[in-house]
Formats: sequence, C-alpha cells, structure tokens
Amino acid sequence: MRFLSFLSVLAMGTLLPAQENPSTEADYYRLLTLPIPEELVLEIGGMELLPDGKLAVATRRGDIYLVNNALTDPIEKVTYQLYAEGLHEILGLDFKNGSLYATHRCEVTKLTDEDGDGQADLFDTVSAAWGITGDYHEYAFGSDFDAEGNIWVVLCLTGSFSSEAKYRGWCLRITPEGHVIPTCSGIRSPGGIESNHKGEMFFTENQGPWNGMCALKHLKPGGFVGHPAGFRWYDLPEVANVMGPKPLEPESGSRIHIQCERIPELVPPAILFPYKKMGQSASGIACDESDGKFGPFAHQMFVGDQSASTVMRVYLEEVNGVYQGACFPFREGFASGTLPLEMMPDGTMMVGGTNRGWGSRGPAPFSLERLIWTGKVPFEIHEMHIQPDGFELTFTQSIDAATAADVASYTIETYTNIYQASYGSPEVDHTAPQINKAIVGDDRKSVRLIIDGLQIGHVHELHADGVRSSKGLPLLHPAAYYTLNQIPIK
Amino acid sequence: MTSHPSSDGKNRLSTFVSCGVILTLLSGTPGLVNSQEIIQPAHVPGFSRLFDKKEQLPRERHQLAGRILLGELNCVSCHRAKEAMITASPILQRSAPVLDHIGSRVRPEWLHNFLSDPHVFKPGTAMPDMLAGMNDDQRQSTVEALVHFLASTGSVAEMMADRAAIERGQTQFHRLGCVACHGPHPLDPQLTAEAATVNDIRGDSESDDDEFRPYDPGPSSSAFFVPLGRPAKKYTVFSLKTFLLDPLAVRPSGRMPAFPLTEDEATDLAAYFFRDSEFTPNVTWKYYEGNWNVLPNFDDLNPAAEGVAVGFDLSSAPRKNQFGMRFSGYLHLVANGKYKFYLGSDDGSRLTINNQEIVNVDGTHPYQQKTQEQEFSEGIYPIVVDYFQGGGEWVVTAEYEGPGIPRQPLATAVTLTADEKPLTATHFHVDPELAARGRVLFGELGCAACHTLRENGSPIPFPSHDKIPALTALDPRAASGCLGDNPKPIVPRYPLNEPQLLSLRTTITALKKPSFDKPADNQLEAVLQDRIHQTLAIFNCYACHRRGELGGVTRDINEYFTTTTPEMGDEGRLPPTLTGIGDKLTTEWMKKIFNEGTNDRPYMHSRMPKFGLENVGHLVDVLPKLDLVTASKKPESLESPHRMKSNGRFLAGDKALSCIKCHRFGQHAGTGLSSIDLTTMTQRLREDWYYRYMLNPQDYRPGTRMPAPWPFGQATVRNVLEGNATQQMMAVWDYLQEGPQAPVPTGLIAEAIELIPESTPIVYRNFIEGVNPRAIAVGYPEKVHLTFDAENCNWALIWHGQFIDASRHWTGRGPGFQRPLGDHVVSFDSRSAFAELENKETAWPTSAPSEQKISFRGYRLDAKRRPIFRYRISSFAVEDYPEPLIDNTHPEPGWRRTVTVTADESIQKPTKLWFRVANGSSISLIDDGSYLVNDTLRIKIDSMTEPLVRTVDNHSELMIPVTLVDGKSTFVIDMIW
Repeated sequence: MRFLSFLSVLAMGTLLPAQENPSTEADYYRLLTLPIPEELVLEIGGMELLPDGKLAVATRRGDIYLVNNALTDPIEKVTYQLYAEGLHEILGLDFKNGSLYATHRCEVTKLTDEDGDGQADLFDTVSAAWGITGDYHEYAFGSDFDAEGNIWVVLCLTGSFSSEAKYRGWCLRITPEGHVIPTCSGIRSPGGIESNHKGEMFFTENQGPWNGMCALKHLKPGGFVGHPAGFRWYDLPEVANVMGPKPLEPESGSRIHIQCERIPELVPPAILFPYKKMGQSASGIACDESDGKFGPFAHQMFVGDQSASTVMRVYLEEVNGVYQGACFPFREGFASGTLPLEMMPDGTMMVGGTNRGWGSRGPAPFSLERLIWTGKVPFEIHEMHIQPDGFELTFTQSIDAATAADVASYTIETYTNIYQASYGSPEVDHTAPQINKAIVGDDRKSVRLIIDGLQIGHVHELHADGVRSSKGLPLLHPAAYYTLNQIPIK
Repeated sequence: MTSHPSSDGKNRLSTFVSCGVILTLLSGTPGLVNSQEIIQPAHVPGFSRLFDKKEQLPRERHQLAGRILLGELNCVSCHRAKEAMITASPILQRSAPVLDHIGSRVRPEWLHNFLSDPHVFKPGTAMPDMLAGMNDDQRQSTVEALVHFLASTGSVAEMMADRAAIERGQTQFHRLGCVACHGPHPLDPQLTAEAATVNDIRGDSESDDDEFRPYDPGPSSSAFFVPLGRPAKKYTVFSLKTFLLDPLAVRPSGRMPAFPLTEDEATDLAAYFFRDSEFTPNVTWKYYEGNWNVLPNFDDLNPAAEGVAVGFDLSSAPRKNQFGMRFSGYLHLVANGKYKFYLGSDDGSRLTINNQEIVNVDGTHPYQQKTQEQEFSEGIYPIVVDYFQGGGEWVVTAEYEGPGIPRQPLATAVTLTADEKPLTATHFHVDPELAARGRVLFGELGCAACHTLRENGSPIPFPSHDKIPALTALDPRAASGCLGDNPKPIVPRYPLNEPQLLSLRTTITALKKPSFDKPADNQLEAVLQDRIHQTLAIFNCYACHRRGELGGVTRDINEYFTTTTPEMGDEGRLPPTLTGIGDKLTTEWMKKIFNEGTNDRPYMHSRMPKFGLENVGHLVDVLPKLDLVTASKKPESLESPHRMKSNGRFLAGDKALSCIKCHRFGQHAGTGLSSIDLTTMTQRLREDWYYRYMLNPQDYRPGTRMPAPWPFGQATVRNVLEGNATQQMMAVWDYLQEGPQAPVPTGLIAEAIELIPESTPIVYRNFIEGVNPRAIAVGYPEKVHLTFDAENCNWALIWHGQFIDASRHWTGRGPGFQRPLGDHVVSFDSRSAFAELENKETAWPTSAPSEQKISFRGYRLDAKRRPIFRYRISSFAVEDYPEPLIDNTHPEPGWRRTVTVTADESIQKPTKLWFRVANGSSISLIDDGSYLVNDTLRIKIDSMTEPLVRTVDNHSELMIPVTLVDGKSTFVIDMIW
C-alpha cells in the first residue's frame, strides 16, 4: 500500500513558498492586454494592420472592427469602430489597394468602403471555389498575400474526418483574378497559415487521425501532407492537371518517415509539437521579420497554442530540400485561447484569443493582447542545427564553458508517433541516444553535441538544464524538441 | 459452426485428441463421432488467458489455473472443497444454469441433440458428458426420458424476426460489446486480417513498457472467444429475448453478464441470431390510402397495393401517414378453452376472428392496448386485423394466450391458407410416463448435482452426493476418475486438453497439503494480485479492459468499439483502464456497477454489463486493498460552505475553467464535446484521487484530452479563492457534491442572442434551416426578412416579425442549421432564379449551378445599407435588389424585388434566358392582375415581357422571358403575403 500526502501532492504550486526567480518570461516579453468595451464580443480569427495605422480585427461572429491606437501604450486611447458585419467565421485577413480580403467559411471576400464613411459597402466574392456541407468543422483559414498576390486557403475536413464537399482537406491558392490553383492535399484540421521569411508557406495541423501530434507543416506545392481523406478530388481534371495522379494511400499504423519512402508526394511535418508538452491545439503563426525589434530571434517562426494559451517559438532549417527544426516554449499566460498571431511593424506581436467551443488555459472568453520585447535578451537556445553527428546549439548569450562542455548538463531522448487512421497517437519507439561530447565554440555562444543514435522520423527532446550563461544564469527554457526528417551528409 | 484459430500457431487440439480420456469417450459413442472429428476442449476464457504467452507455465501458475478450472468446470459442486473455498484466493464457483421452467426457454429438439453428445453438438461447452459410459440404446432412451422431463416444465413462446430487427440487432451485437467475448460475426478471416493491418502499430518495436496504451491493441483474442452454440436452434426469438434481458436469472454465475438493454434492444439482438431462419409469409395484406379518424370499411375501398408478409408487419406500407392495412389469415387454435387476446395500436385497429369482432382499439390515439377473453374450441378460424394510421407514430401489436399456451405474438399461430401448419404446431408433446422416468434420472445421473431445477419451490436432490469424495480426498491420477484414462461408467467426461489436465492435477495434489494457501505476510500483495487476476480472467474483464500490462481490446475486435463522438478519440470508444481502479472509484459506485451494469459513458457504444455483486463483489474489497493511495486530511476551506460551492460553480462555467465545454452536466450536453457527466462525479470518484488526478490527468490517463485545469498546481483563474489551486479544487468538489441538484454553471444553457435590426439591416451569413449552407440572411428594420441562397443565386426564404436567434451558432462550436425566429415563413424553390431554356416547354434545369455557369459575385450595400445581390449566369450579370414594400392595405410589409440583367455584349435580340418568379402547386391570375401562388403569396409583376404560367404534373411555374434593350433588362416583382 502506498501512502501519499495530500499536502505534498497539492503543495507544488500553491503551498510552497514562491521561489525568488529573477528570470521570468515577463521580464523579457511583457503582455499588454488591450481593453475591449463591455458590449463587444471580439472572438478574434484574423488581424491586419492597415496603412493608416488602424488595426483591422476580424471575428468568428463574422464582424470586422477597426481598432484605433492599437499600438499605443498606455492603452486608454484604444477605440473600436465597426467596419463590416455578417461574414461567416473569418479566419484570415489581409489588405491590398484599399480593400480588405477576408477568408471565411464560404469564400474569400474583398471588402471595400467606396463611399468613405468608414464602413464597407462593397462585398465582392473573390472565390467560392470550395464546398461546404453545413458541418461546423469545415473551417477555411486564409494566408496573407504571397509574392504573386495569391491567398493560400487551407480547408478543414468535414467533421475533421472525411471530405464530403469539394476541396475539403486541401490547400488552394486563390489568384488575384480569383482563379484557383489546387496546391496540396492531406490537410486535416488547420489552426493557422503563414509564410516564413523566404516566402515558403506553412500551416499548423492538429492532432487527430493521421496526425499523432500537432505539427507545423510545409505547404510544398504538389505535396500531400498526411491525411488521405481528400484524395477523391484528384479525380477532377482541373486537379489532375496541376497535381498529377493521386498519391499512394498511406498505410495506417506505420511511421511517417517510412511512408515518405513509399509515397514521393508525402511531405513530413517540419515540426512536431509533442502532445501536452508543447500544447495540444496548434494555432496561429507569425514570422519575425522585425530586424531585431522583437528581440534576438530574427526569421524564426512563432506558433500559438489555443488550448494551452501559449506562444511557442520555432527554428526551421532546410536539409536535403526538406524542412525540419526545433520548437521551444516561449511565452505562456495569454488571457484566452491564442488563435491568430500578427507581427506589427513596430516589432511587437498582436495575439488574438477565443475559447468558444474549445476550452483554453487562459479563462477569458476572448482577448486582444500585444506581446512586447522589453529590450532584455533572455538566455535561450537560439538555434538548433542538425549536424551529421549530432546537433549544434547556438545561444542568445555567451555561455559558461565549464557547464556547456559537460555532457552531464544535457539529457536527450527521442520518440515518434504512430501514423495511423485512428485518432492521435501516444509517443512510441523511445530511444536514448548517447551524447559523447559537448564542444564549446570559439565564440562562446555555441556548442557542438556529438551524439550517437540520431533517429530519423523522431522528435529529439533535449534538456540543457545544466548549461549556464557566462553570468551564471540557467536557460529560461532549457527544453528543445527537434523533429528530425533528414540528416545532412557532410 | 464457429471455428477458433489458434492464436500462437500451435494446435492445442492435437494434444487433446491424443489424450486417453477422450479416446475412451469417443469409442464409447460409435456412430455419433468418428475418431477424425476434432473436439474442442472445454472453453474457459480465464484459463486460456494464462496460456496467452508462448512459454511454459511455471508450476505455481498451474495452481492458479487449476483453481480457475475447478470453479469453471464446477468440479466443486460434486467434490466438496470447503477448505479451498474459504482461503485468501478461493475458488470462484461457476454454478450451472438454473433449469427452472427450461421448457419455456429451450426447444426440446435442441435438448435432445445436446444431451446426446454435448461436445460435438456444442464444441467448447463446459458441460460434461454424463452418459458416456452407456451403450447406444441406453443412451438414446435416457436422453429421450430427460428431454420429456425437461420439456414438461413449460412450452416455448414463438415470435418472428423481421428484417429490420435483424439488421438493428446486427449493429447492436457488434457495438454493445458482445464481440469482446463472442467474437465478431461472421468470423471473417479477411476482416480480421484487415483489422490487424489497420491496428498493427506495435511493429517490431519493444512493447515492454507498462504505460497505458489505448492505441496499442494486443494480438488476437480469438482464442478466448466463447462459442455461442446455435441459439436459433435452441431458443425462440421470444425466449432468447427474455434470456438477454436478464441472463443472471437462469445463469446466476454472471459469466454471461446482463447488458443494460431496453426490451426493444433485446428483441432486436435476439432477432439477429435468427438471421438465417426462414419465416414463411403467413398473412395476406391489403394497403389503402386515405385520411380517416376511425377505421373505414375496407370492403368498400380499393386497395392501393397488396401482398403477403411475415406477421402483422406495417413496414410494407409505402408511406408513413394516412394509410390503412388489412391483414388476413387463418388462426390455428390447438385446444378447447378460454383464450385471451391483446391488441394494441397507434392509431386505430380491430381484431376479428371467425367474422366476430374480438378486440376494438379504434380511433385516433397514441399507443393503446386492450384485451378480451373468449372461449374457443380447437379449430382453424379466419382472422382479420384492420389498422389505420393518421399521423405521428405507427404501430400495431397482437398477442394471445390460451390453455397451456404462454402469452406470445398472435401471428405465430396464423397461416396464409387453412391447410398450412403454423409455427406453434411444432409444439412438443410430452409423454407423462417418459417425463416421470426422466425426473428420476435427472436426480440419479447427477444432473441435479450441478443444475437447480425446482419443483414446488424445492430443487430436485442429488441422492448420491455423499458418496462422492471431497476435493482433498481425490487422487488426481486415478485411472478410473474424471481425469483418468479409464473412467468408471458413471463418471462425467470433460473435454480437456493436456494443459488443462496438468493444471487440474497439480492443483488437486497441492490442495491435499495443509500448508497450501496460507500466504506469508510478505506474500499478501501477490495473493491479492492473484485474486484480482483470477477474477478478471474468469469474468473476461480483460476482453475489454486493461489492467497493468494485461488485457484490453485486441486488434481483431478493435474496430467494433465505436463512439458517437469520433472527436473524442480512443477515450470515447474504448472501455477505461482498470489500472488503479480501486483507488479511483468509490466502493458504492463499484457495487452499483457490479449490481446494475452501467452506461455512464453514453458516447461509447459499448456498455458495462452487470456481473452480479454475488459473483464479483469481492473485488470491492480486494481492489482498494491493492490500489488505494491514501491521503492525509484536506486543508480548511477558506470560505463558508455555500461560498465554496458558488465558487465551484463559477469555476466550472465558461468564464473560468470551462469544464462544461467537454463534460455533460446532468441533462445538459457539454457545449463542445459531451464526455462523462459531472453531476455524478463525486459519487463515482474517491475524493483524494480527484485531487491527484486534477493536478495532472496525464499521469492517470496518458494521452487523455482532459487538460490539467491547474497546470503544475497553479491556478490560472486568479480572482477566485485567492488564486489558491487547492481551495479551487475543493470548491469544485464541494459544488459537484450537490449532484443532480447542483445549479447549472454559466455558459451551459445557451441564452437566446436575438439579432434585432434597428436602424439598418443586419446581414447574417450562416447555416439557415432549409437553405443551402451558403446562406445570407438579412434582417430589415421594417420587420420583413429574407434569406438569399448564394450557391443557387436565388431567394430562399422570406418571413415577418422577429429576425433570427444567433445563439445556436455563437455559443459553443455552433453546429447545425437555424430556423428563422419570426413567422409567416415562405420558402422558395432551392434552384436558381435564372435559366437558359431551349423553348418555353423546356423543364427548369436541375443541374448544379456551376454547370449552368451560375456564380455568386457578392453584394453592395446601398445608402440605407440594404444589400443588392450580384451574380452571373453565363454571359449575363444580374443585380437582385430586395426592398421592403409598405402596402397600407396589408398588415405586414411585403417585398419589392427589382432585378436588372446586363449582357456582357450588347445583345438586342431575344435571348434564351428566363427568370422564374415563383413555382408551386397552384398559381392563378386574380382580378387585380396579380398572381396568387399556393393560395398564399400575391405577386405583381412589372416587366417588358408578358409573364408565363406553365403547369406540368400539378406543378406550376410563373416565368418571365428576358428581353434586352441596349443589353439590359429590368423587371420589378412585388410580393405580399
């Protein structure tokens, strides 16, 4: 018979004396909560800063508000004006030539205020190329314009399991003329879409059938990203002309890297977010192109998690033409379920929140928040690069050579998930690679980890708990999760 | 016959056939079995579990296995085993079926076949052959006497199985959980192979971690499937249904547990086993259409259809409202005496026998039943059942009972013609002399040692019981005993294989030693483990549940475990783990589950059946002994009890932890998912388990979608109870202790969100009932509203009064279609307003809008913010402008619909383009030059061209040919209703 003290179980958070820890996330990135008037329901699905400095905010109820003075601090001057209403669950917003472009459940709509009274009066259907059946799961997430002026739309499956209407489970590009280019198959249930600094498009995918964990996936045109329910649309001539023949059906119960060898079109997830460790509902994406105004993470991607009310950080690299990389915890404590992320020109990040229908750790039903770099650089793993024989870590501050060179400062394990038709997956195929050496770089800002037992297709969960900065600080977030698809030859 | 592939590739039967006991048995019954026939060993799932692994069983495990067999084969009902029953891990005796009134359940023909050779007729049965020592003649006469005796205890009631019931039963059989013990039907090797591929996730990876692995079904469980025998030969639909409703009544051992079933579900399930039975049509039916309040005289009417059916089956009726049916046939009454007839229906019905009205349930009413008693002499009588249906539910039932005939469906005694024999004619005629001899044999042969059969309340005794040695006095290697090579004639013969024999012999030998079963203190845990394992194995709990590393749904039945809510993942479909269950559940709840079964997880299609407290009740004591983790006292509450509860209520609601997003709350479904009910939580769960679970649900249910409400012990809701996580957990617990009386948390019941257009119109694009999902509802301050169908590009609905309630779509995930909130809803055709027609006779097209080159282009809001819908058809652009029409002669506003067509290039000549204003069952031109549609909608048209009304097959269409002037055409349609 075991005996466990009630108090010892409950003490973890509440009854222990709070540790005096000088380093918290808030010291480096502070959260500013924008006020929302009592009468407004602002369940945010998309955001875009307009040239005149107003922030356009689109909601799941189908409204678009213009927020005045959204980037001012203090926040007392923030006001809202209704720009449009009546669209159907907006999950994408961009602006071009005086018009807003909203991706919502049934179409991409161009909204224009022709008479200049501050409210849209012209609602042009840009494209309604996809089908809807009346199932609430059939969401449509839209990107910002790409370099050619296309909007990329990722379409959730029907009921998130099957494709009962045209293009459910597909990514489409909508050209400026409203033409449709079928772009990728294999979508299940997206949470956000955004391009990286090179213009390559990515979306977040949620755990479920054929997705053992939430993921950030590369939308490589012509690719298949994992869930075969939408394969029926390859039969359409307009699809076959662009996409070629239907890929092989994946084998359920296998592993994705094994199926990648069978199915040339299959693009493996660039980043896997281990379930619960890194949230459970990956959502909006933003790319830091602020030239340092958002801190030291230039060109990195940031990904929200609706359920955990967090923003996570992602470092991506391309190896043998395939994207992969590491995700790190970044900032928690958002007021509601984080959905869209949008970088502002001033180097701050707008974060919209909603938890209607899906619970979130942040208890507010909806929220609009701004994440601001305080100017202090946190001690973090900056980037994590794959090497033929291990990893190279770079850090945001110079490191203490003694702790960084000690292999006992690190632990690493790997695992993957089952690629299967049924819902989700546990972590499986655990291995424990051996870290043989940790070699500190001459710049004192990097470490080469020489490792035996890298595992293709696995998440490499690294904890660098023992590493100290040259000032003796521990890492703000010692954990990193690297998804390994390819090992470079040299 | 069901076959059971061996799970490990080793044919256990070969070892069995070489066993001397059985060869003797087989040679003693020439003619029934030849030596090539493979006989299955007694099927004991609990025993098979121990041989699940390939390696040899160590000696001490044989003792556990042997104890299982001693109980399951019911050795202890003859060989008394007092000592072995009262120890720390007693033998769990599986008592044999109770045979009271067996004649009313089981067909005599089946009894005859079964008793003649139980092991060949029902392979795998644990019933020993008691007659093996007899020669053919002795055996036959003994069986005959026993059958007459058993049949004298009652007679079976017949019932027919219709196709629809069989199909429902098939679905139920495969998803309720029957397959866990009995395997899927049919045992299709292809299906099993596919299931194995789908679920083969173990691959070559190591499988030795002890994590809860809901996605990792073990290998095949076909070795444990319990053979069903031939239920259709054994039972009638009626008696099988009765059995399924309460199997423990006749099989008190609980090895066949009782599923919580409704009467209808049990009937369907029973019907499924009769899927291959032929039921000859036995009534003629005539079908009439009409709208009646009472039964019409069908003689004066012409039937719209006629045919023959099995029983008084309404499913032949082509429609579900406003029809009548007359069923006719011949009723066979087999004895003189008083009969009682039961007739029930919704709506009216009448039973006529021999041209005399017997029961009358006429009139329009919900289901109502009446009875009538009447003397009849033996004979064949014309019978008529008349029935009519107005609207709503529709059903008719007719039953009867009579001298020596238990209550049963009347149709079983009816035939199509007077010369045929009814189902009931197969009734077995009991010879009283044979029955009397059978009764004596029942006691003498030892049937009574295992089977209770009561006469006037007391069971038939087994006179020789005292002569049988006790278990501890047995020599397990005696050649002349039950396990020997050369048994005495009177000894029962069990079909045992070598491992079974070895286990039995080992155990019996061990039982003789007095030290057996006295565990040392340091072995207590192991003994408890064994006891639990023994129980879970015997009752086949492992078929559904995992505990530690054992059990769980295997891959060959994995696909049959399904859910109403796929989004819940495996948690929503697979029975929960039993690891730590004694720590998790309160003893009261365990007792309740064992005593009643449960359907606490209604999203899961499988159900937890009742095993009976008397059978598995010891688990209530044993499980906590092993599993319990005790906690010290909880801290003092920060607030008074009622404030703790109100805080708990707030925390459970949508403004805080949102428990109700995923959990059912009493009668209210969760707003997102609807997982297990919160209002029973404190009855189900032990309180200190709850606190530990809340801290990290993943520790207890790895992979669960349940988030940690207090992650890392921190409160995310800071403004309640000083942000103290412990206090908040206590508050939720205290609140939920109110159970069903707990007030509903906020956010659970959707409050109406009425959209009220005040100064300008409101656009609401969402799912509107009766309209394509691409719907645009627009509400106007004038209190006249419409929904535009942006897929087909046409008006879909118009109405008056209130606009719409958005709460369905703006609360929770927002599923489903919403109907207008107001009144006077008029629905238009779902197809497009425009079409290009070859000529004015061409039918309005039904093809998809895209094929007609119809596409929605959006809308523009005018100065009053009223939308002007824009769409295209081939080379024409259309603007479609609705304006409220205030007409003082009419109480509510109407609509003015102004439609402007512009051609891409200036086309002056007439086009093939038509606009359809309205369509319906009637359109007529009335005095003021307007058209009246369906006696409701008055339409006035102002157009350059003359409208056309055309009628085909009672369907009228009001159409305008489009003529262009300078490439343009405009027409105005005013509508009031």
